[in-house]
Amino acid sequence: MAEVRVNVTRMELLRQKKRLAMAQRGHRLLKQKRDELMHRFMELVEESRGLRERVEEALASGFRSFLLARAEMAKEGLYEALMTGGDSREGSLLAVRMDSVMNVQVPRFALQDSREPYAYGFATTSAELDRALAAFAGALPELIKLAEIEKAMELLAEEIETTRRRVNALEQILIPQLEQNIRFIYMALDEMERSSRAQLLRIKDIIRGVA
Amino acid sequence: MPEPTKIGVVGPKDIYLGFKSLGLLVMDAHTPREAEAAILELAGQGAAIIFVAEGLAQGLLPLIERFSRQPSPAIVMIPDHRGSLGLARERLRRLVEKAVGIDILAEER
Repeated sequence: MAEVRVNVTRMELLRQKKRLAMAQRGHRLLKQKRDELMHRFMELVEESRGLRERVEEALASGFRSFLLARAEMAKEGLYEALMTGGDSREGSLLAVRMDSVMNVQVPRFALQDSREPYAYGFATTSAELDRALAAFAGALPELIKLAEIEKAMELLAEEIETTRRRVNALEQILIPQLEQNIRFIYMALDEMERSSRAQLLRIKDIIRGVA
Repeated sequence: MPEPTKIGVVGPKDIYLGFKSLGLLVMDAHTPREAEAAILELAGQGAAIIFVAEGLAQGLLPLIERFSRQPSPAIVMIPDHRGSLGLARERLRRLVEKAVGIDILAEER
């Protein structure tokens, strides 16, 4: 522990005691915050694992259908059919609002309107393509939910880490230091008192000897 | 920067074409470098969510890490037609490790 450098006065003792009380209160509060954040975080972890599995499954089947469609149709025809669609209204698909989880701002996404994905002629395209697009369209809400949850997890993890650091700093450094300061002042004050008492006794003796 | 209300997809053609007709913004990328430029471009255009093909995301972890600290955009890895590489799961594990301080999902790897 670093060299103690505090004034040995009663004022300073009071000040250090006040700081210690404050630090302990902060420590308790931060610890509660950390525990609650952790609780929320673990809920998200659980949720995201199931969701990701479902989403990956849905996407995989979508991609399989898509590849089949590509094999059935002429490549150019397929690309043409898909490149022309969708461009009409590349606008707001999402409604985003901010939500506060334990004072951490996390975005919430809501799909605003889903659109008809089949923006192509049916004569030149295969049924497998329809199937693929249906799979993608079906997976989209869950994909967005996944994005929301993963983002919330990232932000919470960040917050938890900072909070944990603060808790540790208070616990390991600030509080022990304050405690040591207080001990040091007590000891030094006691020592001063003893020495002045000894002086007084000695002076008393001298005065009595003279009298 | 416009209010982020769009969704972007970054990856090779076979990944994003299926999403294009759903009204998502799509960006063609075959290398991590292209993907990085595409992600930055989409973020600038106001994408709130960006889906990135997992195969490309591997080389983009620093960028993804940087975006993970800010509220928007959310970058989500999606598997390509070859199936999941487990990269997203790995990232989840990292997040948990960061939050908890220890690796509590380790035994399930």
